[in-house]
Amino acid sequence: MTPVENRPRHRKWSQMSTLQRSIIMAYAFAIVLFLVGELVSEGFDSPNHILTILVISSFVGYVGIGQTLVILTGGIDLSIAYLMNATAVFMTGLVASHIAPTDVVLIIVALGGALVGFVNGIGIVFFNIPPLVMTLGMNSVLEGIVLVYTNGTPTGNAPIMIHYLVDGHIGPIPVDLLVWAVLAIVVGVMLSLTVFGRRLYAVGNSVTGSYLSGINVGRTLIGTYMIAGFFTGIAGMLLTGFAGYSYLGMGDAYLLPSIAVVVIGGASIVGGRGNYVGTIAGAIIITVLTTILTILNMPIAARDILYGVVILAALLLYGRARSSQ
Amino acid sequence: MVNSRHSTSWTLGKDIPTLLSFMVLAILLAVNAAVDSHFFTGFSLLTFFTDAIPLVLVAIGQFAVILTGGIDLSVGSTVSIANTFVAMYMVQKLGSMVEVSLLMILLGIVAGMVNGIVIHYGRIQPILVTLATMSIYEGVALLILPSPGGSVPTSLTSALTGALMDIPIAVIIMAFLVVLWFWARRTRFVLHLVSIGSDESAARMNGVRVGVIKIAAYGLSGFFAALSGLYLAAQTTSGDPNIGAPLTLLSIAAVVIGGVRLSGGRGSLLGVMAGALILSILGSIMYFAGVSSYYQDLFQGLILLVAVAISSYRRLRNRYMQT
Amino acid sequence: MTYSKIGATAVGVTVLAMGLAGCGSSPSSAAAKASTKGPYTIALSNSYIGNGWRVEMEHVLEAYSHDAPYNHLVKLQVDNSSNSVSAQVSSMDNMISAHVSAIIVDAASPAGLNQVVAQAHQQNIPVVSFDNTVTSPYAYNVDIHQFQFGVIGATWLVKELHGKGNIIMNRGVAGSPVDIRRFGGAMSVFKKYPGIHIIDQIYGQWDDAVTQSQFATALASYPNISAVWSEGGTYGAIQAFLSAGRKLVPMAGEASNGFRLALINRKYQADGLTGISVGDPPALSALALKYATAIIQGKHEPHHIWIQPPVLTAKNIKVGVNAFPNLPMTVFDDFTGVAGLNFTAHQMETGK
Repeated sequence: MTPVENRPRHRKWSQMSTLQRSIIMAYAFAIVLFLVGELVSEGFDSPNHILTILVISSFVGYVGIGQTLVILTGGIDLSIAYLMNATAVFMTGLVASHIAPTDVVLIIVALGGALVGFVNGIGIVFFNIPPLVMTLGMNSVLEGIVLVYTNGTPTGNAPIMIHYLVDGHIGPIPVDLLVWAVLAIVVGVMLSLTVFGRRLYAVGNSVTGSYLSGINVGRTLIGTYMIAGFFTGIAGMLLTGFAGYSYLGMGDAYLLPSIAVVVIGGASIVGGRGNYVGTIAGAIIITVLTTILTILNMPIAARDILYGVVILAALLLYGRARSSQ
Repeated sequence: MVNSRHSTSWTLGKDIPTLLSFMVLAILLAVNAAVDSHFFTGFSLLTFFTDAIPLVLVAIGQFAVILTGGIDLSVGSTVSIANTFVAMYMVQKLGSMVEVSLLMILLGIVAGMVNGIVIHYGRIQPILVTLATMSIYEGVALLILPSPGGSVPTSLTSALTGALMDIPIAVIIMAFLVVLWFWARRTRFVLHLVSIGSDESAARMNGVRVGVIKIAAYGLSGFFAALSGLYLAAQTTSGDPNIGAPLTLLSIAAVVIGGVRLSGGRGSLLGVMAGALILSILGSIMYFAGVSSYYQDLFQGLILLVAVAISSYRRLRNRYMQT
Repeated sequence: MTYSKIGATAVGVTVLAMGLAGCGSSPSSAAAKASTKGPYTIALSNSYIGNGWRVEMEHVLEAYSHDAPYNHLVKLQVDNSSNSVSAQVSSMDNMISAHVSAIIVDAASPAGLNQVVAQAHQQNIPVVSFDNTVTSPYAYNVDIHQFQFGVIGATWLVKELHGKGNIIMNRGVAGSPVDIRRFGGAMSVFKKYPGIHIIDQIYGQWDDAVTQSQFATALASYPNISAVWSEGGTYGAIQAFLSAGRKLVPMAGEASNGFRLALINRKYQADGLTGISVGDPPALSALALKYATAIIQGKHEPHHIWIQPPVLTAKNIKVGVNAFPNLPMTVFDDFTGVAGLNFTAHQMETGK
């Protein structure tokens, strides 16, 4: 049933891990898309425009942090859409009501994100609810909370600090990209240099194996969802900086792309393989693709189709499971 | 011999998750009857069933896929394809109605089978393949009908949403689906679906043609999605390229509330129907109880979580606790 | 064993109860309602609550129903669906089951509700649709001329540009009838001028944030933009120009607070911003309530009522009257002063 396996032709290439190959291919794919962009519209690859595209990529990149962590454990997080929306409306609402100083509000709201992740983790670990269902239900609950809290109209504006993080410049460099770089380094260090990171991969590879080697699987999972919730909360707050305020449904557009960017970045949806460097490539690919389709002024129908086809192509290229079944 | 006897038990009573979903439904029906004094008079009941049918149909397709341990995120877009196709091409003639219906069903099956083929031969996870085709099929629906419109023969509307000798057609459809299930669950095909969901490699070793069965399951999902799109066209007398979108996640919720195990291998169509009806009746209860519709999502999410927590928590072997 | 019995019984009873009750049903119309003196229950079926305009529309409606004479005459119900036709059909079915006196509708689809509108008609429940109106012959419609919305903005732009220039069109939600009509109106003007070039159409979803991100991309691609025609989210377009460090251009946009305040902002004016603000008043909902009540009372009303869109330029924008620095930028300022209906900012924000 399975086709004869092709032996990799180049030694060096073959010595790399599947993940390394996938990430290299993802970045190559991103570069190809940039070249296509230049063909489609002159000035696409000008430094200024590349910076603009990177800034736009950063938003799905921020959302992708939590999703990367969760997918590495073999789970999935569908609650990010309304977790982002919730942190956004609570941040602007609490700041506007002058209950506490802005920086205290920011910390509280980010911890609120972690709390939501904690509840997700509890449901998944202690109640044995599949991650997809747990986070789907949580998304619905959060949507309700957002509607009830705002009564339909979110109040307040993004604090100046958040605005600066997203829209400010240091020389020609957007502050937003520096923020992204810092977060990427934090996540990268956490995943590859800490004990927690190793446990996270181990759990994603095999729950039973991790258990047998003495890892507290439940605690690792709950920790992962908490950290994911924390980062998603930060993503929601940063997103308000872009618009200047919070609004209903602001996270919806990021839910499915957040999964797509992680997988296009070479992570395995069943867990255990992937890293945030890949997700960054995925975020850039998705953004460049969307931009090109916009510039081509294609009807929405064609954009949807091409978007799906490109994701499928990337998956066929390097998202396939090993053929041994 | 496929090891799945326990999964499609003959006595419904042993099927606790399905039972639970029916108990929840019975309670909600009682609550609804209490808040809506007209509930058991014609119009309310007719519309209750009629409005629930599209979700019931999609959920059944989703159920076939989830039984194998897969998932189909493209069902909503397939609903939209069928819906726009009908609104665009069907005219008030018996020939056209039959022809367009058949073509539409074929489209649905093909859309589903493409998922199955890519999943099986491409060796890509179902959630990813159907995430991509969700976008592709959405585009196809927009190609067929870029904005809401078109029209549907009035006879289709009255045939599907009316009543036959005072029995709502919707009730007849559901009764038919129940009978179909009592027949189908004994068939080799359904047993194979279940066995793949329970343990794919064991099923393969037992001689189940995993590829064929999986592709058929996704084809079935497309088939039911197409029927749902047809029914929505009849109900709304027009086409809408975005009509199916909300049904994707709702169908998964309905299946799960119906006591079906998300990892596959266990579940009953009766539970799925109960799950879909539970989700449909919530809005009505809240309207008649005078609760702000802001709370609807909150309750939907809570019911989903409580239902699944109860049925999952019972299981002795917990994946993560290893106790 | 006990389980199995209970199980079979529970399922059996549920199925039977449904089936039997189903048998007794007959969808024929109920007895015609006697025309009473009220209070009338009027239900709003709103297709979704995801944007500020809809929220304002509901608040204005609630405030209107709390004022005389409606405080004694009308009992208002509000039900929001999740932007899906089927959810809205269910919602309206419930209203018909509850025998409300009238239904007012902001529809998820122009034709998708026609079946349920016909059912309401059978049961003698008048339906008044507004904003996203329905095509059913049984419904009453209250709306602004969306085609005119497009024409007014485009005509002003052409004059401002002396018939020459590159225009980016910021459309709304793709495929929605409102977008199609507004766009059609604008194009009917632009195509008369060969010097006008439409260099791009983007879909800002009538949303400042989406518009801003779409413009961020477009600005990088087009060095020469002479003007922007926009259906909504115009404040987002201005933000995108500012953060790209580009000079502002003439803009035809909607009646958002951000856009109106920008139009009278000295700094932006010096930077090149001129514009026209064409409104789509949220108070249409209050008008719909007014007409629904009149219809219940047996007054003969026309089936279509058209409201002229309110139009302002920098000259007649007045702080505190039709632009409000203390309100969020996303608020639509034409909640008041349209079609003889006046509301305070407090009413618009709270519904009280």
